[in-house]
Amino acid sequence: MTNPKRILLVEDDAAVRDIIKEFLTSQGFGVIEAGNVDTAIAAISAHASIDLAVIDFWLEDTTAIPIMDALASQGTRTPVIAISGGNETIDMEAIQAISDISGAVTFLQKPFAKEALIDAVTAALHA
Amino acid sequence: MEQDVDDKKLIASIILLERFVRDIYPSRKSSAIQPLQWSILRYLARMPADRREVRFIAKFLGLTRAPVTRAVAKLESRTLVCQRSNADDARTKTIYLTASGKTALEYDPVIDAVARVRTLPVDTQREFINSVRSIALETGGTNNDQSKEDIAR
Repeated sequence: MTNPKRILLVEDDAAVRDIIKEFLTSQGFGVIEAGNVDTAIAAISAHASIDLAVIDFWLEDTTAIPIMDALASQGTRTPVIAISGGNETIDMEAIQAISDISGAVTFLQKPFAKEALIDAVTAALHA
Repeated sequence: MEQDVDDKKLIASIILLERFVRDIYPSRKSSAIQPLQWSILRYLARMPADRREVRFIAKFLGLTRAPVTRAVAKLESRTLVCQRSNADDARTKTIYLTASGKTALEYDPVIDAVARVRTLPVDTQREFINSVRSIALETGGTNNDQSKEDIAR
């Protein structure tokens, strides 16, 4: 039996995080969850192999850039799917561009269909 | 002690940045593809089919539906996109890039701008990328609804 692919899920909205976690788990993935930047960075340090990260770009009043930097600094090229429901000061086009600059391979605008998430996860893992 | 940057230099930098962006669009004639129309073409090329509706494009660009509807109509009149009613809700339409639209994207002015930046040393490219990201994140200047609606007219 092969080990399931491990996905780091960072989402500050607990209800949304639970839904995504439940879905990814049902698809056979192992999910490491975090609700803020510090917890996410600690999880990256604690887990040697993370195959993919799904990260909400806006976490409370900060961005996920430190998390993406922490993943990049590991030198493992962990693909990142950035997700966002928008922000009062920056539109989605800009958030997508900032996510691209920060190393995301895909950007999903919330709310998104489960099919869109699994398509993005599959594409990122096989890229 | 860190010294403030001279206002004159900041103003000059913004003028050069504004000129750079203006210059990448080869024509401002009404017959040319306008910046908002380019944004819509890029969106359609990147987003899945279930997101290719005016309401999603408007939300993505931080605009109301009216300017997006007008821009899509303009693109459709030029056969760069086409619209089809959705099977499960005829009131909504999905927008598709046509073959002409895909060809047009091969001449996206942003590609020319990237080529110009690529001529800079790698370190300078990285500084440019980080500076632009900081401007977008820390000045919050990209979601001024009224000015964007004006630009979109």
